[in-house]
Amino acid sequence: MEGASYQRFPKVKIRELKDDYAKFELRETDASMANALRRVMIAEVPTIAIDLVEIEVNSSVLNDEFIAHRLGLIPLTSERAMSMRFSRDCDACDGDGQCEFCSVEFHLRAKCINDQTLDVTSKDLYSSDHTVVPVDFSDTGSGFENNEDQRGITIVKLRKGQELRLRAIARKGIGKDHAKWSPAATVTFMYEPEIHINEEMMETLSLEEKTSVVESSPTKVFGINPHTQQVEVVDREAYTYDDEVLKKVEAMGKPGLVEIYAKEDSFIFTVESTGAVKASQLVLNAIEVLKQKLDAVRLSEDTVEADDQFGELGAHMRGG
Amino acid sequence: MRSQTPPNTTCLIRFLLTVFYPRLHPQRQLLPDRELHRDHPSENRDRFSGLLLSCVPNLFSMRRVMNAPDRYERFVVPEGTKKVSYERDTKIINAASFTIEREDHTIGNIVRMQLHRDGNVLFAGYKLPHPLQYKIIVRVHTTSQSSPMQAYNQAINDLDKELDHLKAAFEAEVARVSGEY
Repeated sequence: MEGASYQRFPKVKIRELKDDYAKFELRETDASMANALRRVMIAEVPTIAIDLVEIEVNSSVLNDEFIAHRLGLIPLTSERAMSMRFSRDCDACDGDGQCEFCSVEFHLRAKCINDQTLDVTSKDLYSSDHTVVPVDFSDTGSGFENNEDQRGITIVKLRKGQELRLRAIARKGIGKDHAKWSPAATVTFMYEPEIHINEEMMETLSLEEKTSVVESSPTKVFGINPHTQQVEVVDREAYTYDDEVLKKVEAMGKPGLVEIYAKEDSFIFTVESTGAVKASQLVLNAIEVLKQKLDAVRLSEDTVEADDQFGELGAHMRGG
Repeated sequence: MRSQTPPNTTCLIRFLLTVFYPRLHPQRQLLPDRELHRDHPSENRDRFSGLLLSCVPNLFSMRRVMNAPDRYERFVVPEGTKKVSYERDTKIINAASFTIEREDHTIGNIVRMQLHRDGNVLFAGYKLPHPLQYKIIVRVHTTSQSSPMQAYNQAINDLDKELDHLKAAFEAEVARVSGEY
Protein backbone atom coordinates (compact mmCIF):
# COMPACT_ATOMS: atom_id res chain seq x y z
CA MET A 1 0.00 0.00 0.00
CA GLU A 2 1.96 2.99 -1.24
CA GLY A 3 1.32 6.54 -0.22
CA ALA A 4 1.65 6.71 3.54
CA SER A 5 4.78 8.66 4.30
CA TYR A 6 6.39 8.73 7.69
CA GLN A 7 8.76 11.50 6.84
CA ARG A 8 10.06 13.94 9.42
CA PHE A 9 10.59 17.65 8.79
CA PRO A 10 13.73 18.76 10.59
CA LYS A 11 14.41 22.38 11.46
CA VAL A 12 17.79 24.07 11.63
CA LYS A 13 18.85 27.22 13.41
CA ILE A 14 22.45 28.36 13.15
CA ARG A 15 23.89 29.96 16.24
CA GLU A 16 27.44 30.65 15.17
CA LEU A 17 29.10 30.36 11.79
CA LYS A 18 32.77 30.94 11.07
CA ASP A 19 34.99 29.54 8.34
CA ASP A 20 36.10 26.54 10.35
CA TYR A 21 33.52 26.42 13.13
CA ALA A 22 29.77 26.07 13.09
CA LYS A 23 27.32 25.71 15.95
CA PHE A 24 23.72 25.00 15.10
CA GLU A 25 20.53 23.52 16.49
CA LEU A 26 18.84 20.61 14.80
CA ARG A 27 15.23 19.99 15.82
CA GLU A 28 12.43 17.57 15.09
CA THR A 29 14.54 14.69 13.95
CA ASP A 30 15.76 11.50 15.50
CA ALA A 31 19.00 10.79 17.34
CA SER A 32 19.86 8.23 14.68
CA MET A 33 19.85 11.00 12.05
CA ALA A 34 22.00 13.26 14.20
CA ASN A 35 24.46 10.45 14.83
CA ALA A 36 24.51 9.45 11.17
CA LEU A 37 25.38 13.02 10.22
CA ARG A 38 28.13 13.09 12.81
CA ARG A 39 29.59 9.79 11.63
CA VAL A 40 29.47 10.84 7.99
CA MET A 41 31.10 14.20 8.73
CA ILE A 42 34.01 12.48 10.42
CA ALA A 43 34.50 9.43 8.24
CA GLU A 44 32.82 9.68 4.86
CA VAL A 45 33.00 13.19 3.48
CA PRO A 46 35.72 13.04 0.82
CA THR A 47 38.81 15.22 0.93
CA ILE A 48 42.12 15.37 -0.88
CA ALA A 49 45.36 14.40 0.81
CA ILE A 50 48.83 13.37 -0.26
CA ASP A 51 48.88 9.65 -0.88
CA LEU A 52 52.03 8.83 -2.84
CA VAL A 53 55.46 10.33 -2.29
CA GLU A 54 58.48 9.90 -4.54
CA ILE A 55 61.62 11.04 -2.79
CA GLU A 56 64.60 12.03 -4.89
CA VAL A 57 66.92 13.34 -2.22
CA ASN A 58 66.55 13.22 1.52
CA SER A 59 69.51 14.00 3.70
CA SER A 60 67.47 15.28 6.63
CA VAL A 61 67.37 13.74 10.07
CA LEU A 62 63.95 12.16 9.44
CA ASN A 63 63.74 9.05 7.29
CA ASP A 64 61.75 8.79 4.06
CA GLU A 65 58.61 7.16 5.39
CA PHE A 66 58.50 9.52 8.36
CA ILE A 67 58.41 12.48 6.01
CA ALA A 68 55.91 10.75 3.73
CA HIS A 69 53.65 10.15 6.75
CA ARG A 70 53.85 13.80 7.77
CA LEU A 71 53.09 14.98 4.25
CA GLY A 72 49.98 12.80 4.18
CA LEU A 73 48.61 14.46 7.28
CA ILE A 74 48.83 18.01 5.90
CA PRO A 75 45.27 19.27 5.22
CA LEU A 76 44.74 20.45 1.64
CA THR A 77 41.89 22.71 0.51
CA SER A 78 39.43 20.22 -0.91
CA GLU A 79 36.64 22.16 -2.57
CA ARG A 80 37.21 19.97 -5.62
CA ALA A 81 36.90 16.73 -3.73
CA MET A 82 33.15 16.18 -4.08
CA SER A 83 33.32 16.39 -7.88
CA MET A 84 36.59 14.51 -8.27
CA ARG A 85 36.81 10.79 -8.93
CA PHE A 86 38.44 8.24 -6.71
CA SER A 87 41.63 7.15 -8.36
CA ARG A 88 40.61 3.50 -8.20
CA ASP A 89 37.49 4.38 -10.24
CA CYS A 90 39.24 6.59 -12.77
CA ASP A 91 39.29 5.29 -16.32
CA ALA A 92 41.16 8.21 -17.82
CA CYS A 93 44.53 7.24 -16.35
CA ASP A 94 46.81 4.78 -17.96
CA GLY A 95 46.50 2.61 -14.92
CA ASP A 96 48.75 4.29 -12.43
CA GLY A 97 46.20 6.57 -10.80
CA GLN A 98 48.10 9.75 -11.54
CA CYS A 99 46.13 11.54 -14.21
CA GLU A 100 44.94 15.12 -13.94
CA PHE A 101 41.32 14.10 -13.29
CA CYS A 102 41.87 12.00 -10.26
CA SER A 103 44.98 13.43 -8.63
CA VAL A 104 46.93 16.60 -7.90
CA GLU A 105 50.70 16.76 -8.07
CA PHE A 106 52.91 18.57 -5.56
CA HIS A 107 56.60 19.12 -5.38
CA LEU A 108 58.90 20.28 -2.67
CA ARG A 109 62.53 21.38 -3.01
CA ALA A 110 64.44 22.61 -0.03
CA LYS A 111 68.11 22.90 0.71
CA CYS A 112 69.71 24.56 3.65
CA ILE A 113 72.55 26.78 2.49
CA ASN A 114 73.36 29.02 5.43
CA ASP A 115 74.12 28.38 9.06
CA GLN A 116 70.58 29.02 10.26
CA THR A 117 68.22 26.05 10.62
CA LEU A 118 65.85 25.88 7.68
CA ASP A 119 62.26 25.11 8.60
CA VAL A 120 60.60 23.21 5.75
CA THR A 121 56.89 23.91 6.10
CA SER A 122 53.66 23.24 4.26
CA LYS A 123 54.10 26.59 2.54
CA ASP A 124 57.03 25.10 0.63
CA LEU A 125 54.75 22.55 -1.04
CA TYR A 126 53.92 23.75 -4.53
CA SER A 127 50.77 22.46 -6.16
CA SER A 128 49.97 21.87 -9.80
CA ASP A 129 46.39 22.98 -9.16
CA HIS A 130 45.91 26.31 -7.46
CA THR A 131 42.58 25.23 -5.95
CA VAL A 132 44.23 22.42 -3.99
CA VAL A 133 46.86 23.90 -1.70
CA PRO A 134 47.92 23.31 1.90
CA VAL A 135 45.49 25.04 4.23
CA ASP A 136 46.61 28.44 5.37
CA PHE A 137 46.27 28.68 9.13
CA SER A 138 47.36 32.25 9.59
CA ASP A 139 44.99 34.38 11.59
CA THR A 140 43.90 37.18 9.30
CA GLY A 141 43.17 39.50 12.21
CA SER A 142 46.23 39.42 14.42
CA GLY A 143 49.26 41.35 13.24
CA PHE A 144 51.02 40.69 16.53
CA GLU A 145 51.49 36.96 16.02
CA ASN A 146 52.38 37.45 12.37
CA ASN A 147 55.60 35.50 12.15
CA GLU A 148 54.47 32.63 14.37
CA ASP A 149 51.39 31.37 12.54
CA GLN A 150 52.11 32.37 8.99
CA ARG A 151 54.92 29.95 8.50
CA GLY A 152 52.69 26.91 7.98
CA ILE A 153 53.00 23.37 9.32
CA THR A 154 56.58 22.30 9.93
CA ILE A 155 57.47 19.20 7.95
CA VAL A 156 61.16 18.87 8.80
CA LYS A 157 64.06 21.07 9.87
CA LEU A 158 67.29 21.10 7.87
CA ARG A 159 70.83 21.87 8.85
CA LYS A 160 73.45 23.36 6.56
CA GLY A 161 74.03 21.05 3.65
CA GLN A 162 70.90 18.93 4.14
CA GLU A 163 68.49 18.73 1.28
CA LEU A 164 64.99 17.47 0.64
CA ARG A 165 63.53 17.00 -2.79
CA LEU A 166 60.36 15.11 -3.48
CA ARG A 167 57.30 14.77 -5.66
CA ALA A 168 53.94 13.96 -4.11
CA ILE A 169 50.60 12.91 -5.56
CA ALA A 170 47.43 13.79 -3.68
CA ARG A 171 44.24 11.81 -4.16
CA LYS A 172 40.64 11.83 -3.06
CA GLY A 173 39.75 9.64 -0.12
CA ILE A 174 37.53 9.34 2.93
CA GLY A 175 38.24 9.28 6.66
CA LYS A 176 37.18 5.65 6.85
CA ASP A 177 40.21 4.71 4.80
CA HIS A 178 42.74 6.82 6.69
CA ALA A 179 42.35 9.63 9.19
CA LYS A 180 44.37 12.00 7.00
CA TRP A 181 41.32 12.27 4.77
CA SER A 182 38.97 13.28 7.56
CA PRO A 183 37.83 16.90 7.08
CA ALA A 184 36.50 17.28 10.61
CA ALA A 185 38.58 18.23 13.61
CA THR A 186 35.73 17.45 16.00
CA VAL A 187 31.99 17.05 15.50
CA THR A 188 29.83 16.78 18.57
CA PHE A 189 26.16 16.98 19.35
CA MET A 190 24.32 17.14 22.64
CA TYR A 191 20.72 16.79 23.62
CA GLU A 192 19.17 20.10 24.54
CA PRO A 193 18.33 20.06 28.25
CA GLU A 194 15.02 21.17 29.67
CA ILE A 195 15.29 22.38 33.25
CA HIS A 196 12.34 22.92 35.58
CA ILE A 197 12.71 24.56 38.97
CA ASN A 198 9.89 23.94 41.36
CA GLU A 199 9.24 27.50 42.56
CA GLU A 200 7.04 26.57 45.52
CA MET A 201 9.61 24.20 46.96
CA MET A 202 12.29 26.78 46.27
CA GLU A 203 10.49 29.25 48.50
CA THR A 204 11.02 26.98 51.49
CA LEU A 205 14.82 27.15 51.16
CA SER A 206 17.11 29.53 52.96
CA LEU A 207 19.68 31.54 51.02
CA GLU A 208 22.55 29.25 52.11
CA GLU A 209 20.67 26.21 50.88
CA LYS A 210 19.97 27.91 47.58
CA THR A 211 23.63 28.83 47.22
CA SER A 212 24.67 25.26 47.95
CA VAL A 213 22.31 23.97 45.27
CA VAL A 214 23.68 26.46 42.77
CA GLU A 215 27.26 25.57 43.61
CA SER A 216 26.80 21.82 43.51
CA SER A 217 26.88 21.86 39.74
CA PRO A 218 30.43 21.60 38.32
CA THR A 219 29.45 23.88 35.45
CA LYS A 220 27.64 27.15 35.89
CA VAL A 221 24.08 26.16 35.05
CA PHE A 222 22.25 27.97 37.85
CA GLY A 223 22.71 31.30 39.50
CA ILE A 224 21.03 33.41 42.12
CA ASN A 225 19.31 36.50 40.84
CA PRO A 226 20.71 39.39 42.95
CA HIS A 227 17.43 41.29 42.88
CA THR A 228 14.87 38.61 43.60
CA GLN A 229 17.14 36.18 45.54
CA GLN A 230 15.70 33.34 43.46
CA VAL A 231 17.54 30.46 41.87
CA GLU A 232 17.32 30.72 38.14
CA VAL A 233 18.89 29.08 35.11
CA VAL A 234 21.90 31.07 33.92
CA ASP A 235 23.20 28.89 31.10
CA ARG A 236 21.04 25.95 30.11
CA GLU A 237 23.56 24.46 27.76
CA ALA A 238 26.41 24.40 30.24
CA TYR A 239 24.69 21.35 31.67
CA THR A 240 26.76 18.28 30.93
CA TYR A 241 24.26 15.67 32.09
CA ASP A 242 26.16 14.93 35.23
CA ASP A 243 23.44 14.56 37.85
CA GLU A 244 25.27 16.46 40.56
CA VAL A 245 22.47 18.97 41.15
CA LEU A 246 19.90 16.19 41.36
CA LYS A 247 22.05 14.25 43.81
CA LYS A 248 22.56 17.34 45.95
CA VAL A 249 18.88 18.13 45.97
CA GLU A 250 18.08 14.57 47.07
CA ALA A 251 20.75 14.66 49.74
CA MET A 252 19.13 17.81 51.08
CA GLY A 253 15.90 15.88 51.38
CA LYS A 254 14.02 17.80 48.71
CA PRO A 255 13.68 15.59 45.61
CA GLY A 256 11.70 17.20 42.84
CA LEU A 257 13.14 20.63 43.53
CA VAL A 258 14.91 20.60 40.20
CA GLU A 259 13.93 18.41 37.28
CA ILE A 260 16.12 18.07 34.21
CA TYR A 261 15.13 16.25 31.05
CA ALA A 262 16.91 15.82 27.76
CA LYS A 263 14.67 16.74 24.86
CA GLU A 264 14.72 13.70 22.65
CA ASP A 265 14.48 15.40 19.31
CA SER A 266 16.49 18.55 19.82
CA PHE A 267 20.25 18.57 19.27
CA ILE A 268 22.99 21.16 19.45
CA PHE A 269 25.76 20.44 16.97
CA THR A 270 29.28 21.78 17.17
CA VAL A 271 31.31 21.28 13.99
CA GLU A 272 35.00 22.14 13.77
CA SER A 273 36.72 21.65 10.47
CA THR A 274 40.45 21.19 9.77
CA GLY A 275 40.24 23.87 7.11
CA ALA A 276 40.12 21.45 4.19
CA VAL A 277 36.43 22.19 3.75
CA LYS A 278 34.48 25.07 5.26
CA ALA A 279 32.34 24.11 8.23
CA SER A 280 29.02 24.95 6.55
CA GLN A 281 30.13 23.16 3.40
CA LEU A 282 31.11 20.17 5.51
CA VAL A 283 27.56 19.78 6.81
CA LEU A 284 26.10 20.12 3.30
CA ASN A 285 28.57 17.60 1.90
CA ALA A 286 27.70 15.21 4.71
CA ILE A 287 24.01 15.42 3.83
CA GLU A 288 24.88 14.80 0.19
CA VAL A 289 27.06 11.79 0.99
CA LEU A 290 24.38 10.33 3.26
CA LYS A 291 21.85 10.65 0.45
CA GLN A 292 24.23 8.87 -1.93
CA LYS A 293 24.69 6.05 0.58
CA LEU A 294 20.94 5.64 0.97
CA ASP A 295 20.55 5.57 -2.80
CA ALA A 296 23.09 2.80 -3.07
CA VAL A 297 21.23 0.79 -0.47
CA ARG A 298 17.82 0.97 -2.10
CA LEU A 299 16.32 -2.25 -3.40
CA SER A 300 16.51 -2.15 -7.16
CA GLU A 301 14.07 -3.97 -9.41
CA ASP A 302 16.49 -6.71 -10.29
CA THR A 303 17.22 -7.43 -6.65
CA VAL A 304 13.54 -7.90 -5.99
CA GLU A 305 12.86 -10.06 -9.03
CA ALA A 306 15.86 -12.32 -8.76
CA ASP A 307 15.23 -13.22 -5.17
CA ASP A 308 11.50 -13.26 -5.62
CA GLN A 309 11.90 -16.12 -8.06
CA PHE A 310 14.08 -17.93 -5.61
CA GLY A 311 11.64 -17.19 -2.87
CA GLU A 312 8.74 -18.61 -4.82
CA LEU A 313 10.71 -21.61 -5.96
CA GLY A 314 12.07 -22.24 -2.53
CA ALA A 315 8.65 -21.97 -0.97
CA HIS A 316 7.26 -24.30 -3.60
CA MET A 317 10.03 -26.84 -3.06
CA ARG A 318 9.48 -26.71 0.64
CA GLY A 319 5.83 -27.40 0.04
CA GLY A 320 4.79 -23.93 1.19
CA MET B 1 52.92 4.22 6.69
CA ARG B 2 50.82 4.11 9.77
CA SER B 3 52.59 2.13 12.45
CA GLN B 4 56.03 1.50 13.82
CA THR B 5 57.69 -1.59 12.46
CA PRO B 6 58.84 -4.02 15.16
CA PRO B 7 62.63 -4.51 14.96
CA ASN B 8 62.71 -8.11 13.64
CA THR B 9 60.29 -7.25 10.85
CA THR B 10 62.40 -4.25 9.81
CA CYS B 11 65.44 -6.48 9.55
CA LEU B 12 63.45 -9.04 7.64
CA ILE B 13 62.07 -6.40 5.28
CA ARG B 14 65.52 -4.97 4.65
CA PHE B 15 66.96 -8.41 3.99
CA LEU B 16 64.21 -9.38 1.61
CA LEU B 17 64.38 -6.01 -0.13
CA THR B 18 68.09 -6.34 -0.72
CA VAL B 19 67.73 -9.87 -1.99
CA PHE B 20 64.70 -9.48 -4.24
CA TYR B 21 64.87 -5.82 -5.15
CA PRO B 22 68.52 -4.81 -5.16
CA ARG B 23 67.85 -1.22 -6.15
CA LEU B 24 66.32 -0.56 -2.77
CA HIS B 25 69.45 -1.58 -0.88
CA PRO B 26 70.10 1.20 1.63
CA GLN B 27 73.64 1.84 0.47
CA ARG B 28 72.65 2.38 -3.14
CA GLN B 29 71.71 5.83 -4.34
CA LEU B 30 67.95 6.00 -4.78
CA LEU B 31 67.01 6.56 -8.40
CA PRO B 32 64.28 9.09 -9.11
CA ASP B 33 61.03 7.78 -10.58
CA ARG B 34 61.71 4.28 -9.25
CA GLU B 35 61.79 4.62 -5.53
CA LEU B 36 58.25 4.68 -4.26
CA HIS B 37 57.02 5.25 -0.75
CA ARG B 38 53.38 4.44 -0.74
CA ASP B 39 51.26 5.96 1.92
CA HIS B 40 48.70 3.36 1.02
CA PRO B 41 50.32 -0.05 0.44
CA SER B 42 47.16 -1.88 -0.58
CA GLU B 43 46.65 0.18 -3.72
CA ASN B 44 49.69 -1.41 -5.30
CA ARG B 45 47.85 -4.62 -5.73
CA ASP B 46 45.59 -3.54 -8.54
CA ARG B 47 47.57 -0.63 -9.92
CA PHE B 48 50.93 -2.14 -10.86
CA SER B 49 51.79 -5.01 -13.08
CA GLY B 50 55.17 -6.64 -12.71
CA LEU B 51 56.14 -9.16 -10.11
CA LEU B 52 58.85 -7.29 -8.27
CA LEU B 53 56.85 -4.20 -7.47
CA SER B 54 53.96 -6.30 -6.26
CA CYS B 55 56.28 -8.04 -3.81
CA VAL B 56 57.18 -4.78 -2.14
CA PRO B 57 53.74 -3.86 -0.77
CA ASN B 58 53.32 -7.36 0.59
CA LEU B 59 56.54 -6.96 2.50
CA PHE B 60 55.46 -3.56 3.75
CA SER B 61 52.08 -4.93 4.80
CA MET B 62 53.73 -7.56 6.98
CA ARG B 63 54.06 -4.85 9.53
CA ARG B 64 50.27 -4.76 9.94
CA VAL B 65 48.29 -7.35 11.91
CA MET B 66 48.33 -10.66 10.08
CA ASN B 67 44.61 -11.33 9.73
CA ALA B 68 43.14 -7.83 9.73
CA PRO B 69 41.36 -6.94 6.48
CA ASP B 70 42.46 -3.88 4.50
CA ARG B 71 40.90 -0.56 5.36
CA TYR B 72 39.32 -0.13 1.95
CA GLU B 73 37.34 -3.32 2.56
CA ARG B 74 35.09 -1.27 4.80
CA PHE B 75 33.49 0.50 1.87
CA VAL B 76 34.57 -1.00 -1.46
CA VAL B 77 32.14 -3.68 -2.65
CA PRO B 78 34.14 -6.39 -4.44
CA GLU B 79 33.30 -7.46 -7.98
CA GLY B 80 30.50 -9.94 -8.15
CA THR B 81 29.02 -9.18 -4.75
CA LYS B 82 25.70 -7.44 -4.64
CA LYS B 83 25.37 -4.41 -2.42
CA VAL B 84 21.89 -5.38 -1.15
CA SER B 85 20.30 -8.79 -1.15
CA TYR B 86 17.54 -10.33 0.85
CA GLU B 87 16.23 -13.63 2.10
CA ARG B 88 12.66 -14.27 3.03
CA ASP B 89 12.10 -16.05 6.29
CA THR B 90 10.96 -19.59 5.69
CA LYS B 91 8.86 -19.95 8.82
CA ILE B 92 7.22 -16.55 9.18
CA ILE B 93 5.25 -14.85 6.43
CA ASN B 94 5.99 -11.21 5.60
CA ALA B 95 9.42 -11.40 7.19
CA ALA B 96 12.75 -10.88 5.47
CA SER B 97 16.40 -10.22 6.25
CA PHE B 98 18.24 -7.70 4.08
CA THR B 99 21.98 -8.10 3.86
CA ILE B 100 23.74 -4.82 2.99
CA GLU B 101 27.40 -5.17 2.08
CA ARG B 102 30.08 -2.69 3.19
CA GLU B 103 27.87 -0.61 5.42
CA ASP B 104 27.82 -0.02 9.15
CA HIS B 105 25.83 1.63 11.93
CA THR B 106 25.56 4.88 9.99
CA ILE B 107 23.01 3.36 7.60
CA GLY B 108 21.79 0.53 9.82
CA ASN B 109 20.55 2.66 12.68
CA ILE B 110 18.94 5.30 10.54
CA VAL B 111 17.01 2.75 8.43
CA ARG B 112 15.95 0.81 11.50
CA MET B 113 14.59 3.89 13.31
CA GLN B 114 12.71 4.96 10.19
CA LEU B 115 11.19 1.48 9.86
CA HIS B 116 9.95 1.77 13.45
CA ARG B 117 7.84 4.73 12.44
CA ASP B 118 5.95 2.65 9.88
CA GLY B 119 2.63 1.47 11.29
CA ASN B 120 2.71 -1.73 9.25
CA VAL B 121 6.08 -2.86 10.57
CA LEU B 122 5.86 -5.32 13.45
CA PHE B 123 9.57 -5.84 13.91
CA ALA B 124 12.66 -4.01 12.64
CA GLY B 125 16.20 -4.53 13.80
CA TYR B 126 19.75 -4.51 12.48
CA LYS B 127 23.02 -6.07 13.51
CA LEU B 128 26.63 -6.35 12.48
CA PRO B 129 27.27 -10.09 12.58
CA HIS B 130 30.98 -9.51 13.25
CA PRO B 131 33.01 -6.32 13.58
CA LEU B 132 35.55 -7.56 11.04
CA GLN B 133 32.94 -8.53 8.44
CA TYR B 134 31.79 -5.29 6.92
CA LYS B 135 28.10 -5.85 6.36
CA ILE B 136 24.81 -5.35 8.18
CA ILE B 137 21.69 -7.46 8.33
CA VAL B 138 18.37 -5.66 8.67
CA ARG B 139 15.45 -7.84 9.68
CA VAL B 140 11.89 -6.65 9.00
CA HIS B 141 8.51 -8.23 9.82
CA THR B 142 5.36 -6.56 8.56
CA THR B 143 1.64 -7.11 8.74
CA SER B 144 -0.09 -8.53 5.69
CA GLN B 145 -1.01 -4.98 4.65
CA SER B 146 2.54 -4.45 3.46
CA SER B 147 5.64 -6.43 2.65
CA PRO B 148 9.16 -6.13 4.05
CA MET B 149 10.52 -4.94 0.70
CA GLN B 150 7.87 -2.28 0.43
CA ALA B 151 8.47 -1.12 4.00
CA TYR B 152 12.22 -1.05 3.40
CA ASN B 153 11.95 0.97 0.20
CA GLN B 154 9.42 3.30 1.76
CA ALA B 155 11.75 3.91 4.70
CA ILE B 156 14.63 4.76 2.38
CA ASN B 157 12.46 7.10 0.32
CA ASP B 158 11.27 8.87 3.45
CA LEU B 159 14.83 9.29 4.68
CA ASP B 160 15.84 10.67 1.31
CA LYS B 161 13.06 13.25 1.46
CA GLU B 162 13.96 14.13 5.03
CA LEU B 163 17.55 14.76 3.99
CA ASP B 164 16.36 16.93 1.08
CA HIS B 165 14.31 18.96 3.51
CA LEU B 166 17.26 19.22 5.92
CA LYS B 167 19.58 20.33 3.15
CA ALA B 168 17.18 23.05 2.02
CA ALA B 169 16.67 24.21 5.61
CA PHE B 170 20.39 24.36 6.26
CA GLU B 171 21.17 26.21 3.05
CA ALA B 172 18.44 28.73 3.81
CA GLU B 173 19.87 29.27 7.28
CA VAL B 174 23.41 29.74 5.96
CA ALA B 175 22.13 32.26 3.42
CA ARG B 176 20.23 34.07 6.15
CA VAL B 177 23.18 34.20 8.52
CA SER B 178 25.70 35.22 5.86
CA GLY B 179 23.27 37.75 4.47
CA GLU B 180 23.18 39.47 7.82
CA TYR B 181 26.86 40.46 7.52
